[in-house]
Amino acid sequence: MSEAQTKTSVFTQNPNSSNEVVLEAKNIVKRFPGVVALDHVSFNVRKGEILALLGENGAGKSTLVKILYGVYVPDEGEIAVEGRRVFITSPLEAIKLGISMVSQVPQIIGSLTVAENIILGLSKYGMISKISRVKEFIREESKRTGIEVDPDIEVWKLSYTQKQLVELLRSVILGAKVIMLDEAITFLPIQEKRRFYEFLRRFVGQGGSAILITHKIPEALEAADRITVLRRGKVVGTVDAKKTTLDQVRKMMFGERSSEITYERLPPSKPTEEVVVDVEDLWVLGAHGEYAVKGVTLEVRAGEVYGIAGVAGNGQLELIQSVIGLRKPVKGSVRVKLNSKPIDVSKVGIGKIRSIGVGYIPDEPLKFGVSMENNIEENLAMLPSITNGIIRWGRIKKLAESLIKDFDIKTPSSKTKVKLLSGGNLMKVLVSRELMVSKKLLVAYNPTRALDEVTAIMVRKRIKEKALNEKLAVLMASEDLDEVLQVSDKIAVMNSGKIVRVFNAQEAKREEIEKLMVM
Amino acid sequence: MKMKLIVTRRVKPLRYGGVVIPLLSLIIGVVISQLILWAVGVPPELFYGTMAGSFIAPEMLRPFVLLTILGAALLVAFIGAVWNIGAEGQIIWGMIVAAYIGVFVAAHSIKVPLSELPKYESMPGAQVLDATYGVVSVVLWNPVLAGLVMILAAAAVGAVWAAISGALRAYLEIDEVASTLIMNYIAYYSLNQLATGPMRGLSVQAAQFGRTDALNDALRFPRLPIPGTTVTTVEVILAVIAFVGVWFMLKYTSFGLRLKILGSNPNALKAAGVDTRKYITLALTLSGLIAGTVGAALFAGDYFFLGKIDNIVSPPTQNMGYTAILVAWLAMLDIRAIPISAYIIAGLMQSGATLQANLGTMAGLSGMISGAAITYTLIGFVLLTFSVLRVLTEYRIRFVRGGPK
Amino acid sequence: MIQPVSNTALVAGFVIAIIIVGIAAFYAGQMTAPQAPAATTTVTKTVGGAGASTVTQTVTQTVTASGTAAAGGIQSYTPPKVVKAAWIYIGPIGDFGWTYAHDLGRRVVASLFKDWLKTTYVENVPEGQEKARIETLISQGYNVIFTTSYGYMEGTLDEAKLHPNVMFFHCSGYLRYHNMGTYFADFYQIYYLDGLIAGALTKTGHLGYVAAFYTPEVVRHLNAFAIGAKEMGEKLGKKITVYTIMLGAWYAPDKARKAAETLVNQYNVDAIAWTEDSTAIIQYAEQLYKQQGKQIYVFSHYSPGYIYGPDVVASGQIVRWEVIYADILSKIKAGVYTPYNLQNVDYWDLLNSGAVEFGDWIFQNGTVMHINPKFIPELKSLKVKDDFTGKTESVYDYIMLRYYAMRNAPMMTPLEAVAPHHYENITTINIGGKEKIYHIAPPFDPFIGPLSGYKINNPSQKVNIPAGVRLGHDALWSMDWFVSWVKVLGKA
Repeated sequence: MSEAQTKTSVFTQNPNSSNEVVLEAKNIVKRFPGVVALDHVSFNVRKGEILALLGENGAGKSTLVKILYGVYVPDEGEIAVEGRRVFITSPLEAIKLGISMVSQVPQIIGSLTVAENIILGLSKYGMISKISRVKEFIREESKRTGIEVDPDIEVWKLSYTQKQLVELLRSVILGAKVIMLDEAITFLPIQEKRRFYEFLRRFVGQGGSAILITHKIPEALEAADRITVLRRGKVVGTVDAKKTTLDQVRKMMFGERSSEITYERLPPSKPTEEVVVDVEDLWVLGAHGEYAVKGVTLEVRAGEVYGIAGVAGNGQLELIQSVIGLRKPVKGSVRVKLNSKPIDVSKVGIGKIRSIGVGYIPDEPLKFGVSMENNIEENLAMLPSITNGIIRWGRIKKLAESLIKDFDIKTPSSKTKVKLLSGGNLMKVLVSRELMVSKKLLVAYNPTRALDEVTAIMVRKRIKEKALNEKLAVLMASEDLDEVLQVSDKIAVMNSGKIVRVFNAQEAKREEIEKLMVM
Repeated sequence: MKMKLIVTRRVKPLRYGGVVIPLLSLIIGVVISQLILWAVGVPPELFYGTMAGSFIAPEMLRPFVLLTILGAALLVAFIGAVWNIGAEGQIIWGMIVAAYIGVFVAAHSIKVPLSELPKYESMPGAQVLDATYGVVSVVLWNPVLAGLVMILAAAAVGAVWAAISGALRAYLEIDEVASTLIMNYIAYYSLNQLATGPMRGLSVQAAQFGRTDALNDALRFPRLPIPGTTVTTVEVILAVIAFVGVWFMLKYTSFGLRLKILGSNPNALKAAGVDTRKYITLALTLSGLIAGTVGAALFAGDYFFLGKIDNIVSPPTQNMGYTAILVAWLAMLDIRAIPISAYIIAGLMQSGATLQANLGTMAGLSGMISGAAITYTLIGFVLLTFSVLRVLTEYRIRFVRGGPK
Repeated sequence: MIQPVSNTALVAGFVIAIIIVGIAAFYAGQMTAPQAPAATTTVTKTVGGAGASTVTQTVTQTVTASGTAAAGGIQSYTPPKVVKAAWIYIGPIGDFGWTYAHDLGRRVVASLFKDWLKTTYVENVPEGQEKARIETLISQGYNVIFTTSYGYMEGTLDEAKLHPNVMFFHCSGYLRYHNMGTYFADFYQIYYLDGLIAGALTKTGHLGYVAAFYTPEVVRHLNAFAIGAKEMGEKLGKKITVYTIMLGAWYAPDKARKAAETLVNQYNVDAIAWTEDSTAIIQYAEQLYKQQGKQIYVFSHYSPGYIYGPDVVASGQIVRWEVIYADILSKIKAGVYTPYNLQNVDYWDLLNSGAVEFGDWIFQNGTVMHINPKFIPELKSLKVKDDFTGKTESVYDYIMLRYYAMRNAPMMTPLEAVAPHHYENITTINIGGKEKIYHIAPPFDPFIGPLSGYKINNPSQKVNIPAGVRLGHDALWSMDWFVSWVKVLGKA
């Protein structure tokens, strides 16, 4: 059967049996040095359903998905597609079998157009496809989802949301029977997330299946038909999304620790009068040469947590980057006062302030936060504020071990390469390190992204404690409004490159902020 | 039921792979080369006899020592993903500067009337370079001081020469592979210009061929007292310093650690507050610094004069700046393996030369196949085996019963 | 947590470490290795180790004086029972040219003296790498080393100084030591004869010379060729010009062929001689003759080249290194040459020594084809006046007369151990008695004034050799000027 036919069938066929299993994993075992990542995991996906795969950080979700996509090969166990045993040894093979994956990081090629990217995938199989048909399909779906994508535009010009849509469309055109979304839309603004859910609904309604990998329970409840929960490499159980509750799933995910979960506002810290960050009329260019930050002025005081709320892509990232000194402003100034004299960050760059005690939790932690090829100790020692000159490894090892214990980082040892850690544990390495080196100031972007609820709340508490006890100034932008509300003393709402309003935490109302965010 | 082949990437590299893989590659590569050379008429017993002898020949000591220095030099850059293809140029500049100091500063040549030559023959510190024109070299500096200054100046100039490419890459984003390579040729031609121009000597040799006068005997680096080798004590010491220094730097200094991270994840380094452009420049600078010392060693330990390069493909570096790339690669960018791979490459080079000589004298097959061809056959197959073995050890191959029906 | 050591300090520390360790090491090295002041002790030891029971101080002093060889200590020297001789070649032996000729010589002496001589060789040794090879050979027990490229000269001397009990012979150079002699088989007389032929046969008057480098040796040969050509050409009413191209390599067939093409196509040259180690130019000329019928006259170099171009090779030069090797090795065996008396040993072998021959082929029976028979009728038909005999004779006779006069020159070979060469500069001496003026050199030599020319490096500087002045060894061996009818065409 040709691929074009598969594609048409996906959109025309009506599912007559929703109990038919498309993809099944049986007793999958995967060991990494010192860790059993998956311990006899079995689950299945039926035709025409959205299955959510839930679990806390390091539960084994990513490993499982990577096995299904042919990135890893299981040590034991079987995989079956439509009842037939298969060996998936590479992503190419997975795609041939109708299994495709959209991950957190877009994989499409920036220098090619949207249509070219999709054609590229097709030609691998010797398909002769008419580019006009592909373009037509993209335009049609773009209209339907309400996410505008021009098939002739180069991918690098697209926003994150647009790229993820292209990834999804590509999967569909490649004839996917099962699309796996590995935290692919977790970080999107809620309205756009909904558009993707609608798209997925249509896809499964026409006989496809989807696996939604996430650590966010409400999302799973809203979007999925069934939920399979993983915990410490084992399947806890599978429940019907319509018949379960948030608390029940939480218990499955975290066990007794689920009681630690709270979204209460944390006790306020007591800011002093000392201004640590002084941003004045800041104008910063974005990646595509347009102004991303348009005249922002703000002050962060010692002992204060200053949260910036906003929908992704409204200039928060650029603001944070220029405060830390990674992006040069066009106009305006950023002054950071660590000792007696304020430092003009736009002039001295990141090196100076980082070396004297400014912590930084960047976006894209895998790219900017840690070095994947190096171990935990080396990821600590790389910071100029931790070592400069001769490295005393004994001291670094102690440091690493205390962080591992403190943040419950699941790792065989402090000499394990961070690329072998799960996404959440990797984030913990980064966050714990940056909290440690923050003497006067912490600058953060989505500090708890990729952390499960329990860990995220623990991190927020730590931040707050440091502000309270050590008079740490914190400037934090987050796309997660819950987080901003929970931890901030002051909340600024950012929209289209401007701070549209600043609330004191006590006066902030969720609905009002949400309105300002999408205004 | 069918058997199915499954290839997966190993998560953890093979234990002792750093030693086992190069050695295994050596053995397999040599055996394959033997079979091929056998097919073109090289007797197996001669081949293996020569190979065995070559790896313990004192003659290979010198390439081994020099390749160790250069391997360490290149590793410093490669580990930061800065591709220094310019060791040749850095060595050449080291030679030029060492020659300048050795022939013009620490000693100098004077022209004297032929009748006065006997007077200079017995004068300490003076050496008659040429009795035809009456040219005498007179030592002005203490030889130890002169040697040190030659090495340090060569290091400094090698560093500067490399730093140019480093800065171009770091601040103007000009690819360092191309720029270091081009700089090699600039260095070769600079040497030619200088040797035939401003640095041309007074002696009759210098008049006939574009070259400097010879280095005074007193300033030459003394050889290691081992019969059969031409390696000098200074070179051995430089190799020890380069090896230990680079090892220590990579293991125990933040500079070394950050160089490694520069190679794998420059973005993280930037976000950590490290100026990556400075590190790129420094990586090449340090690489050139070490390579530059080899220039001083070649001049004051082997050639003793700087001569015009007539054939640009066989410069006085003996292309060791390029060969060292193989050394660094064979060592899998692990400093501890650098001496091993330098030894292997030096041994293979030696084998080629000796085998060719033995073919002529023992088997009467002179001129049948060139020494370079044998050497490259050997190096080629060893590296090929090495690549294959690396893939095999980094990926796991399994057979699974029961494939698709 | 923060450590006060910066990266700059670290790099500086690294450099300082190099300096400190370097100083220490250098001193250590100075003590162990043979430097100038320490040379005396080393030499004494080595000589003693070679089996001489009484090592006298004379030997030691000889070395430190770095000058003339003294005869004092030689009584204790015993010639080796087995002479182990090794040759170092610049190129591959192949089957033609410089290295082939040396190896042919080696094979001759290896067979001739097989009772007491063992030989080996190393080919393809680039200049600059000879020292490493010499070290290896010495460590293998070779006690006589022949180095056969000009560029090996200083490397050989370096090794000679380090191994005072090994004998070295360097080909084509002029640096000697108490254990290092020099030797060369010189072709300049033959190039002069080639020039005579070329001057007779050329139709255009334009001659070509393809040179490897403009070393004194090549310049001497080129000038001899040009002088011969002009001498003959003028007698036949032709205006002779010699165009020369330098290759920059001793072995470069492609470049040589290109150079020949340039000479023929752009400069209307119809006779070519060269110093390059291949048959490329012969093959080019032969091809031109076969395909276009165009006659170019060429002169084969080093090995007999007639077979590569029977229609174009007029004559040429052949070397017989075995003549020199046999002489050196037999004198070593006899104890005449020792590691202490080679200071003045320099073979400068001309036609009368037998080490060089005028011709382009050696027949199976050992006779030599001096001139290609194809061209002999033409040479015999041309008549010129011979100033020497005062008669008008054929060009062929004119050339052969000069050949035999040089071939049969009475003296020269016995003078090889008394360099520098002021004896060879003497052509006639007054010995009194009934002979009075006695000839000890051949009556013919190309380099007899008047000659005018220019410096190669500075063409505006003129050179004039007054009438009747005959250039001696030193003038020939440092020749850096061309005769005025040589035109330099630059580098190939």
